[in-house]
Amino acid sequence: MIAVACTSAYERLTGGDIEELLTFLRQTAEGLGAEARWLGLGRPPLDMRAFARSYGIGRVEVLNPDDEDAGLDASVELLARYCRSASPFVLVFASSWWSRIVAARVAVRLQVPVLVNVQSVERDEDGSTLRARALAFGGSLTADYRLRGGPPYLLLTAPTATIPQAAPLPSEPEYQEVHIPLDGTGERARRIQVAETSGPRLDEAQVIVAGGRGLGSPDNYPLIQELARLLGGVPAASRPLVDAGWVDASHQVGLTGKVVKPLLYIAVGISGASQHMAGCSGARTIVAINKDSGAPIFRYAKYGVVGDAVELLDALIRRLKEAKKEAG
Amino acid sequence: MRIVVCVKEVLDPDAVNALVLTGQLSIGPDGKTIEEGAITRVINGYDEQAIEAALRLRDAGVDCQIIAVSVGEDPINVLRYALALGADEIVSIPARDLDCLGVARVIAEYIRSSGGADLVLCGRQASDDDQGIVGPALAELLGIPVALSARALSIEPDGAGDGPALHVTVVTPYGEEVWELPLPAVVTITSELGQPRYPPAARAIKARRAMPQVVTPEELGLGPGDLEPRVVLERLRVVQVEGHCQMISGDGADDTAAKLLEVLQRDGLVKL
Amino acid sequence: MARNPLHTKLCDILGIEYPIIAFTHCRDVVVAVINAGAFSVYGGAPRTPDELDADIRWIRERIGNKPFGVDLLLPAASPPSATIEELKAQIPETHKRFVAEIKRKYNIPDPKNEPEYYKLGWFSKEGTRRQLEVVLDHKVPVLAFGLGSPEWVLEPARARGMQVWGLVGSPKQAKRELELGVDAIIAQGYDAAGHTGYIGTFSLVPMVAAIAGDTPVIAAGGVTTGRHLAAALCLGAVGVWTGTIWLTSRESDVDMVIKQKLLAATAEDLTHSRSVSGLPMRILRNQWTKEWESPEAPKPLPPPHQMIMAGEVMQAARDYGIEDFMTEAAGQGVGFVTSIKPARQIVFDLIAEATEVFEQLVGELTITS
Repeated sequence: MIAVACTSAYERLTGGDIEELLTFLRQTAEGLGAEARWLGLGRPPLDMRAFARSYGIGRVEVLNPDDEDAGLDASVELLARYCRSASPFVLVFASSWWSRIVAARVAVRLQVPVLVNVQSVERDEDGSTLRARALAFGGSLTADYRLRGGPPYLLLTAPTATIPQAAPLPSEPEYQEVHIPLDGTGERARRIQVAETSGPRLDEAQVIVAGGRGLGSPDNYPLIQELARLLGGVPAASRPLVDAGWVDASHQVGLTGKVVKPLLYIAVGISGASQHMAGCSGARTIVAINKDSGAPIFRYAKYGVVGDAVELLDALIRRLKEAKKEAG
Repeated sequence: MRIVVCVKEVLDPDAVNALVLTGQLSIGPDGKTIEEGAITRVINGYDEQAIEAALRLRDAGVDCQIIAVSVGEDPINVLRYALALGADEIVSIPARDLDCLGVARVIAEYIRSSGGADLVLCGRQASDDDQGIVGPALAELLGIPVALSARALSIEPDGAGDGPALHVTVVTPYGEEVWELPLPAVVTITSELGQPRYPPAARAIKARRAMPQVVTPEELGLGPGDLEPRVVLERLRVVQVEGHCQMISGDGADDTAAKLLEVLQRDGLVKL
Repeated sequence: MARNPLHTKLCDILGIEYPIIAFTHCRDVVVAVINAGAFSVYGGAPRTPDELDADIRWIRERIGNKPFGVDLLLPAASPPSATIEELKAQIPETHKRFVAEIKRKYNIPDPKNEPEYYKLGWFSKEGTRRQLEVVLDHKVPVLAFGLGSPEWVLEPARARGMQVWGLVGSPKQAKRELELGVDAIIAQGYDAAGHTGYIGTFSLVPMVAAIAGDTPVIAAGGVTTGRHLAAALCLGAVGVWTGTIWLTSRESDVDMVIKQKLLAATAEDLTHSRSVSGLPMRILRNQWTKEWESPEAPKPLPPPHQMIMAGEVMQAARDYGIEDFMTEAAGQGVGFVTSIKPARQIVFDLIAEATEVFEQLVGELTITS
């Protein structure tokens, strides 16, 4: 029995995303008594062999490694064929714009179930059905589902549901590249403007300072940017700031924004609604600054300060600037 | 142009979350049904935006018929609201306990049997199950392309020289992209589309009495066997979050800031 | 063909779709209600002038050029400027002891945060004057006021193209405001939340409508359902002023504990008590109001001194989550408020229900426009 994780050239997954996905795959495979394999579509954006080795994956296959992009129609066709020939028990994806389209379409094509925001799965006692736990209502509830009618069972992982864990012993993965020509159906959907991320990527940042409604006014957002700069980090924002037009959507952290896993996440004036926490709860250390001592964010934070966001930002910035001056 | 908008009635997710935060959310004895109490049923927010997206196309001069479709036990309220907002027709497909692929199957059959659609719009996901599967599944069932999380749409009269095409600005975690899709196509809508309009009074009043066209799965040639759910909800649980927060306070903002930086430096997270 | 009974003169005057005015202290509610086709008046009295300035900009950014209003305490209604310390020194020993005993009995510590009620604008002529300047500077389309005389503010407001609306609790007050020439009268009956007069809404609205002439009359006090809206129009109003229904809305920043009390409450859980502000105020009955009703309790002081005592205890209750001492002003329609809804839905449901009421009386409304 095999359990397969699928990634693509389109997705721009970070190292951290891969580590999470491969950990989920390995843990799932162990639970199912299955062999773990990693399937890549299109040109690998990172060193698949190295990650596979650290994370105990036995086999890596890359389909059409010369394709710069993993076209949607082509990917659906390739995966459908792959499933028919290799018969994976589960096919797992990281949650992304691409995978949401591809997994759903493959599920329809193969007439098997698909589930999104999955935290964990296990095989049912009877052997052929799967039990999966997924997030619901923006992450404030978990839903246990029973899936039948597979294999394969197609799953998209819930962001930050898995804590990356390298394998106790590195593996020696087999590596194979396969070229599969697809009779020129051609992609129907065409990307005519690619996303341009200027500046450091939020989802790769080690230090993030995020601002929320507690900032009070868009005029205060530069304080977030300044603090981030002084800490060598990246500024971010909760959804309400983006909806209000204070900050560009690319800075949004949350369930429907970016999921981040920095070492340090400073949440300023953010209440801690589950939709936001789903985006940042994977941070190693969360510091919460909020004037409401009852704000939910204090339940997630390691360190908390009850106080006025702007006053504290001013004070932190001042202190850091002084320290930098003293350091010369 | 025939635009089909898929709408779903959900428990207001903000009310659900507000009750979860105060530990007041009740789940019934079957372990999976939320006790509604102070929670209202509302139109799924992203679906309201999908209707807005259709209306904006009409405002831009596209000659279109907007049909709102809902699958559920009794989705009459959301359909009337869709009508009040500006939909031309409303269609109810009564069904219960379907999974996402079942819902997509039913809607696809409705679209096929009612003369097809040039554009199918849905919200990017339902705010109860957060799945977002129906849109892309519909695309596959209808054999048409799909783009997700759109915040803007326009019809370009001559895309790629092949007749009208759709230009879609999508919001992804990496930034915005623009995609071109031939029609017919499926597009899911995200809230970056902006504030949806409110229903005008005359329409709101008229919609109150409107009855949707009812189409049953049987009429669409789908029997219970075809719609047997393969993803079945068994339990719903509130996520418990334990707090172990160390509160840091000082004598005023400056002192507090100093103390916080000290702690973070000790933890190796900040270098002064 | 019938006219749309819900399209009133008020809709034409303000350029709004629905003759519903949300009075609220929460900016998000203001924005949500206006974007739902209705109108909203922001309760600016508890805000410092700087905060009010920021609030107005914030609201404008989100509603574009749609109109909105701000409600303030006018200078004549507020006491001469004094510091909190000066005012505290004036409180009699009996009252200080009584409050200290309450704190001891119920284990109420000193508040963590400065009591919200101590904001400058609430307590002094100087503060209220500065708030007014902010509103005039911004040319906020509607300035509403409850307490105080609008005489001197009418001209500067008119000069800026602003409307001035007065809240009244009696025909006598209405007459005075009409003579001064306000642009609309809000007839707020006894049923209302917070500070009200002594005449019930059902009685007050027709009396005011009878003397108002062309001046629009807006009904207030207990309006929480579409049925109330329909009734208000029958009583001669051209719109309704609502407060309680927004407290539990999705957008409202009212504490969840309070929201839950409101959802569970009916008119019988309210009391008309002087113990919070010094003036009779309709609020959820709680331990504080009960203590002041006991035979041993001294007579509540007039404003602002009573507010100083109450403000401290209520802030401590909020800071520490002491539920028995948390309260909120609510109107007698509170029993109809039973769910947490988005503001958009509240507006839509009010209209749907009002339509249903009219249709039950006259049959199907076929509206031409």
